[in-house]
Amino acid sequence: MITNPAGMLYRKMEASLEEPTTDKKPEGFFARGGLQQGSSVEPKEIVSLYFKHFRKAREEFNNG
Amino acid sequence: MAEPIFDAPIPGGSLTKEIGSRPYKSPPQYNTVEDAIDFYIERMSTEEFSDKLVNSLELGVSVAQIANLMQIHGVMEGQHTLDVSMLILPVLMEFIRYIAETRNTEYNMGIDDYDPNVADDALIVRAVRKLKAAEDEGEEVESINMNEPLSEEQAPLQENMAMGLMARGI
Repeated sequence: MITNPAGMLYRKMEASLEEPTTDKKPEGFFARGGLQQGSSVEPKEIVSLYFKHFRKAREEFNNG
Repeated sequence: MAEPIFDAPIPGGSLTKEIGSRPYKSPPQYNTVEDAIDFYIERMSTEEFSDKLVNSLELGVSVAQIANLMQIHGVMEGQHTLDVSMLILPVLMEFIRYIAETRNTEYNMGIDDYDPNVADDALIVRAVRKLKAAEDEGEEVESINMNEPLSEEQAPLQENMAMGLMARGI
């Protein structure tokens, strides 16, 4: 077996959906302009927010 | 005996190029994950991209392979760094999945680890196409019974194969 890096990252991200969300989530995150400079939100959390956003969109589409 | 190959890159050759002479040697265009994701989502939201994406997915190319190609291209073009591309990879895959489902397209995620004994979907699709083309041209195609085990002559030699980097044949 050879590790598939893209698959590993995707599976990790899916697993992290079970974890509780951070309190540091800024309001209006998806608005144009995004985060303020010097924000305490880490890149990993930003990626998680985007991932959850698209996952939710997909689930809503499938549920009509 | 096969001739040795001498056209491989010279070790350290990449360090002899001038700084900034390649796009990936300059500061990236998008240096945060947020900027990089915005860049990709904007490009991927077009009708043209969706059409091409659906075609590729129907050919059997996996979501992971497409996302990988996109991020490697982004790094080579100096749009973002390699670490940013690794971080945004799951988001690209999820967005590709979203596009595929909104277009009612069947897709393969390609997130399982590679098993050398299992053929890739895209490879199978290509082989079937070649076979059909050969049949259409009237060529006789030898059929293989997949349920019968391979004979000793057909089976690849596994036991005596040397392992390790230096064992590679020339």
